[in-house]
Amino acid sequence: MRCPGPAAVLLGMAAGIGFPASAAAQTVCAIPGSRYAVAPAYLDDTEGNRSLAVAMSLSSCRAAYDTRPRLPRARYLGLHAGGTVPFTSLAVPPHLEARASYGSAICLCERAPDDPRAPLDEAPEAYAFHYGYLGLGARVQYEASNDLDEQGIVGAVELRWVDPSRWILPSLVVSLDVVKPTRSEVRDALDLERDAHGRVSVRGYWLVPLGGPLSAEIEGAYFWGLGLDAALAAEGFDGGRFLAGEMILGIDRAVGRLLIESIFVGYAHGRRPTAGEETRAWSVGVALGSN
Amino acid sequence: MHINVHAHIFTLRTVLSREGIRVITQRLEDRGVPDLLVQAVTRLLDRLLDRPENLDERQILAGLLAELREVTGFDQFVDRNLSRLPFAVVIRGSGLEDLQVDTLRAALDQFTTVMGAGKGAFDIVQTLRLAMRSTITEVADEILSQMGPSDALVALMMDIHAPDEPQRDRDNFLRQVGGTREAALQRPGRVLPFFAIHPDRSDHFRLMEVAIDEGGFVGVKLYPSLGYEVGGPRLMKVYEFCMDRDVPVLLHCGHGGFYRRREFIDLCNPSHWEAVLDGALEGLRVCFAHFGGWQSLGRPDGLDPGTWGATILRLIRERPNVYTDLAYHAEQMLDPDDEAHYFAKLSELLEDEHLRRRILFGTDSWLLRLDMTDDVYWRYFRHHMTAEDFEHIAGGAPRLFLGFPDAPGGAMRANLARHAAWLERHRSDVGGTPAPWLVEAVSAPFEGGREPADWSQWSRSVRCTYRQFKPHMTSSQTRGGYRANRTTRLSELDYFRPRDPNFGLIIDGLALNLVGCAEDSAVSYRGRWVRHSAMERVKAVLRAGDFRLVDVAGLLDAMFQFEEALV
Repeated sequence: MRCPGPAAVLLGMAAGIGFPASAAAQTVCAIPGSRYAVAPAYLDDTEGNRSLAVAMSLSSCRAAYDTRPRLPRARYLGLHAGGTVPFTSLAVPPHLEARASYGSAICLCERAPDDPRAPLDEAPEAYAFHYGYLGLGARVQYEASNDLDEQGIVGAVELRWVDPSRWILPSLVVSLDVVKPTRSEVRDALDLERDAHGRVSVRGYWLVPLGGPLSAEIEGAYFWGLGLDAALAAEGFDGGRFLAGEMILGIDRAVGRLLIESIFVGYAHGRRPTAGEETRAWSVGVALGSN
Repeated sequence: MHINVHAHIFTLRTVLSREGIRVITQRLEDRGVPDLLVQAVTRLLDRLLDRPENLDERQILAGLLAELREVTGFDQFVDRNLSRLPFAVVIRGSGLEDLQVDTLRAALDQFTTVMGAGKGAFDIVQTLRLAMRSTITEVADEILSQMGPSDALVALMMDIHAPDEPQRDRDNFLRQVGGTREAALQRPGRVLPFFAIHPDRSDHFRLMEVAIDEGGFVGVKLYPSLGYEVGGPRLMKVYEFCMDRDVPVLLHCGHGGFYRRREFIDLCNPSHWEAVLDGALEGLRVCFAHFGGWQSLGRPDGLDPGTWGATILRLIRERPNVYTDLAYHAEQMLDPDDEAHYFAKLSELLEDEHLRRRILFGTDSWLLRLDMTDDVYWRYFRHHMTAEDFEHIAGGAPRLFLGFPDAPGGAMRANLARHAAWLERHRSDVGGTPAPWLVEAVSAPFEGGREPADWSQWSRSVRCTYRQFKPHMTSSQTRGGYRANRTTRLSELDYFRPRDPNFGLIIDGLALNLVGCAEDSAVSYRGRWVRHSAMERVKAVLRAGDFRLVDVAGLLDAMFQFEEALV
């Protein structure tokens, strides 16, 4: 699915119900090793406040690989800190986050030995069994909304599973989060305690080949709030579902320096765990790359 | 049929050693390449020696720029020249590897212009690109593609043997032997291999014997400036063997090129051959390559008594089977007077009935690419010579040197007859279409079913690659079998779904199995590759999706020491 708009993220943060990194922050290293980045940024909070800013991040992720034939696996330990700080005293807030994660990726498979004398087309299958890839992870993170009105510590465990060769089965992410708000303007306004609450979310993703260059992407998600204040539950923050579909026609045709990768049409309906309101949106577009 | 009697088709990997890097970068220094750039090339080659890999142009450019950044003095250079550099090329950040090839080209071009290196850097990159192909056959193909369909090239091996040669370098040399032989089988009759001798290699004679008698090699290549005298007893034994088997010898005979120490350049002096080409060896077929240098023809005093050119000319006249070639004569192109003299002198020499059968055309590719493509070199000589003269140097004379029949219906000399017989023995398993001369020489038909050199099903790297990715192929891809999937791109396989929230997990699992399979099959990692670095590299490749399966196999082959390596 295409990335959700920033408005949805801000809304979810404002409610203090959850934090946007829950789906994105995989407990594997996107880029192993240590990296830092400093970049200029221009902030616009869509309410008329604008400022130049500096965005900074510091990441360190260590990986250990075990390539054993049966259930080969990788382990990851990651630390990440990042934020955006404006240069001026305009009411454009900084964004801060810190995260520590531990994860493990396991192939539910066993490599079968080769027969090096057999013609390759008649060689034994690569696997004695293969039931996809399993991910287990845990993370603790501090996050704050852009206006710092909502701050909290999140502890989460997640389970992931995918088998791309069985497209009929979804690529799954199941996450159990515990959120402890440390500051919450929303709760203060409703005169609520900043009690910890839980949330379970399930997300499924299908990439369905429809023949030739045509494929479809379907994403479904559901979340349940656990132990949420009744007032917040009454506002509809105790659960929600999200469903989106997209048809994609792969093109991969160069036009000068541009590469037209695909055209797509999509529809999304529902609410992500991090959003406060339901959305209903059509999208039509062209995915471009560089040739 | 035209023949390029002087070409190098070995891959950089098969000659890359500490000594090889020193010799190669020495040549760049001698060519006036700026020191910063030479240092960057040295660092890049050092890195490849430690962690071998086949790089494409974009990767070479990014690698060179990244290394340039690390060279001592680079920061001061940027500070001194900042006002002359466009902002875009101040490369002190990271992320070079993600830039497009055009951007990288422009950056290097702008830098080297400020350095005063002209287009030298571009040519270095193109040379490295050609030399970093994964197999020797691929290099041969690029050179052959600039020739006519029935033309052939002489593939001269190189042995940059060092006294304390580690096993890795010896393995690379043996891969060069195997890869050159493979190229001859892949392009039957169009690649005529010459075996490189370095007398300090303890088993050079045995290796040569096998190569000539059983491996399809047509001749022997010497490079004295790499540190040996041509009149020593070990080489005399080689010459006797060559006389006995009717094998031609070609040796580097120019003041430029590679050398271990500057004083070794004189080991190429043709006067050392006066004593060799005597008595029983008087009839040895020898080609003094480069004619002693372009100056022999390009300068008025180039053939004065005592010059290498004059000595070669005298040997040609006084001995029955002495030849010379015109490989890598480029500097006369820079001066109209030199150029005019060059072709006037060449034309004059070719009027001589004997000399016109002794002066051969050669390009010295892929090294020539440091200045120009082979195609330009061919066209340059064609343009400046009469068709008849060109036919002599690129047709008749090379045929004679290599042992082709002197007249239609005549017999081939033993070296070429052996080569034809060797190809005939493999006629059911050659690569491309055989050259017309071979079809004529061998009565039985050839069958071109040989697997591509870089995609052999008996190679462990290919087997791991194909078997691991097969479960991720569509049914139509699977139906094509491994041969049809050589050029399948990773992004065409079903694992490649970058928007899947679990894409990272898929990449991990696949990389673990790909590297695991290679570990299961290989003797060891090459160079300084270890599991962690191999995993990170493979994951980056899987995530990018632009590699073909053959490139993945090439990557595994570069990382791991397989018994059945791709050559």
